[in-house]
Amino acid sequence: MKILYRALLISFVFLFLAGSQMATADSGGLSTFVAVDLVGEAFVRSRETSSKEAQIRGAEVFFAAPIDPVFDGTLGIAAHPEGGVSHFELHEATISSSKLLPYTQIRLGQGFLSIGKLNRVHQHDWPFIEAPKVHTSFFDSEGVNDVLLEGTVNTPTELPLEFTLGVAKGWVYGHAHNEGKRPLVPTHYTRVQSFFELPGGGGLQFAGNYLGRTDSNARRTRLMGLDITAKWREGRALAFFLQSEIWLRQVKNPGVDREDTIGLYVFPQFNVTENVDFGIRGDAYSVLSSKDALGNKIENASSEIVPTVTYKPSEFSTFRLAYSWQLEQRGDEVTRVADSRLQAQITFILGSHPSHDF
Amino acid sequence: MKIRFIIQIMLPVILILISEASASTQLSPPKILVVTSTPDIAWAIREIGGDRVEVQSLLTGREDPHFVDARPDYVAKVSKADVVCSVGLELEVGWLPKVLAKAARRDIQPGGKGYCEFGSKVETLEKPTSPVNRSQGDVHPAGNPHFWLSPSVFAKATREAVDALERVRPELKGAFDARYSEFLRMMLGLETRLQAKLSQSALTGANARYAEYHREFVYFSKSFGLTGVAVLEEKPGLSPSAARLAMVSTQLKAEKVSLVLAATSAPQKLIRKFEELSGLKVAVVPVSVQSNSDFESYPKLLERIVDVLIEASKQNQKRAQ
Amino acid sequence: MKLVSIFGILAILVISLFPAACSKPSESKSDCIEGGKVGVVCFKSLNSPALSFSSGTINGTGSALAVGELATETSSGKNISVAFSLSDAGSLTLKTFSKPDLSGGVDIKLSRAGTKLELKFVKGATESSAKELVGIDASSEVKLIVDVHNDEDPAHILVWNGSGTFALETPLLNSEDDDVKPSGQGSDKYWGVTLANAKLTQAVLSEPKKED
Repeated sequence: MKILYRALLISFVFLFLAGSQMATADSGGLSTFVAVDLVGEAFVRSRETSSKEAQIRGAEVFFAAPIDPVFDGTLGIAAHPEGGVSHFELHEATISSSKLLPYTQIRLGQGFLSIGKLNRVHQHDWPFIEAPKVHTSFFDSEGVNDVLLEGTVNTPTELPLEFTLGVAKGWVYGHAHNEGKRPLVPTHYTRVQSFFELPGGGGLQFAGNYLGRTDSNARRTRLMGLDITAKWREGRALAFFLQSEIWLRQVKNPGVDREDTIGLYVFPQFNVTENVDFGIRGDAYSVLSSKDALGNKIENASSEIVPTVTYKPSEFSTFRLAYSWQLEQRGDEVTRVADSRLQAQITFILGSHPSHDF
Repeated sequence: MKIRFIIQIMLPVILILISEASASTQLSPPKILVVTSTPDIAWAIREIGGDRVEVQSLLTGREDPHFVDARPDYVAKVSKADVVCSVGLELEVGWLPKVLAKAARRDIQPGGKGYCEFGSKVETLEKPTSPVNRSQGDVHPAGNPHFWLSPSVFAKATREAVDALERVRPELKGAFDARYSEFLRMMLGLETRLQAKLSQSALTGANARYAEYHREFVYFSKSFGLTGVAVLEEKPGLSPSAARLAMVSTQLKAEKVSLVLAATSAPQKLIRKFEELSGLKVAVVPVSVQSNSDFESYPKLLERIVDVLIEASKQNQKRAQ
Repeated sequence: MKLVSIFGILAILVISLFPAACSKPSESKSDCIEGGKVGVVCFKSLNSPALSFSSGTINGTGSALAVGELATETSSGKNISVAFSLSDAGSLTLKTFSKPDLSGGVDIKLSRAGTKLELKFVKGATESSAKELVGIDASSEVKLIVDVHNDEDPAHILVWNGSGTFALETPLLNSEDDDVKPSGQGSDKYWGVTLANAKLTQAVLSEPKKED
């Protein structure tokens, strides 16, 4: 399988290079980009984990083009390190159309589910280096990726409304090293989004989300969340940016009490100079239903503060430094700083990156 | 008796129905809903379409159209449009394609009958003659997109909108063509009048040379006889360093150029920095129509730019004396 | 904009105080009265009169439930470092991610046959085939470091030799690469041990050694 993926990657790189040479001949409207995400850590103080050596966290090759007058196609392949070796995996292979039904985009294939905020954004485009705990715990380190069928309707109403409804194969959810098993109820999800303008030319987008599934062991999972994005621009600079998500997860295993977990993050960011932004993210996470084997409730909370400085000389490269303090509280024990570390990131994009959502 | 009753009751009903039917045929057809990217092309389409169009601009004119987000309210507006018009030449490439895709209306996608791109009718200036890559900055491969600051170029480009309106409403072709001819005359007249105004000012000869923050006055300067000699940005779209600002400042002093132009969307901190370094006053001008302002129409916008330039030139002369 | 930025800063302050706000002492009724501590882990005997708790060890035959959670979330991973000794034909079963009655979990049974230590995964009445943990002398005290990744299906188990230098890349067992693997995941987040002529002398919980 590794050989197959390497062969695929080599052939796609060849196609990319050949395509760029043949751009004036007939590229069929093919747009390609490569995104590289390099991260590293230092000055780690942790009881449990050691620092990550500088590594290419992700290298992604992405292709998009119209297939014909009705359908568009995408293909995305990414390499991630695992056990010191880069593994190539398919991130996206979709056929989509916004021309079959009015106001409706339909997407079929493999991709990240259009749920929440971070799950809908490529990792190299995140406004911070590491994902907050609510995301890694509820969606996996990068996000939930599956074979899906999804429809999104943008209603032609005065109030902007966007409805997304999707169903995914659901054999696996989040991190998995195997193909998984057929679920009793496949992963299904919905998102309802709206937007309003804010004084000073800003805008606030907010959405409610729901995801559910029942796996092959009859474990039922429900996620309910809200995500918010607010932006103000002054010319080229993003004068102020706010991103936040709050999620509740309910997991019910047969014969076992339901496990309820809540997590959130808030990330406000201010523009300091033309190319430099400063943000500070606060995370909180707690298992609301935590109790010991005798049935006594256990208070618990994890929180993290991550001040982050971002330097973007252009929209195609990012240099980022962050310092993370994690605090843990469990029962009687409050650990002021369970983990602290300096994080660094460099990302760059080659080729034509598709335009972003708000 | 029955027949009389039927006639007395039904006849008025029938007459009412007939009059309603005829009234509905006399109702004017619905207006063409047009959504544009910028308020400048919105203004032009209002001039062409008159009361047959209802035009909305996504931008207010205060933004830098290169750096805009694909907002959900833009999607909502575009999804209702019969026609969507953009400047084109990759000016809106960072956001408009996403808005169009999400609106998911076949007719307003590029190539659809309701899509128009003004830049397709422009013989562009500064079109690169060699392959372009990002080491050169944000270079527009199809040429400089800021054509709307030249009335004559803008007027010719507006033909693209006329074609789109006529595709959507073929029965109104004659009316749109007539209004377009009028529009052309008006714009050429505007250009001639402003050329005359400038020729009577100090902005002639050597004094007609200028520097600019970003290359957005190329078409304007060609129409009005000005000559651009320097750009504060070292590369398009990249903020100039302090060293770059100092270098341009030295160049302008050596070449005795005192007129410096910048759009209102240019980063004001850098403009102030340049003024400190050079001792020159930068003429900050709007480069787009803005609603609820002194330049909410295109002629007023151009007049405003010309007036600011003339005033700036006068002030520069005073300082020089 | 100012209101939103103030909201953002306030939110962060609230979040950063979140643990402090929740730091009122829990009214924990955990007790080791019906059991005993091994290290800092409090165990409770589960109807096991033949199990004795003394001097930080558990000895004999029977089951003991750890009072605290193995992990705060069922779908997560944990590391258990154990030290134990087995009589010949004796066994110690780590019952991980179980219900409070120690059923429904991922059970790792460690059995002694002479000097060999064998590992099996147990689910109810079903046992997997046995895997010898090479290099372990079961006739003396055994130290093992066990990762249980219950966020995968089936649960992903790694076992290392706890004696000597820890070598992350050379586990004695990696169920993902082995034919011997658990048949599913644990259904809850408690844990304990079942001893059969065995003595547990150490039980330490920590975050998983192997990051996935």
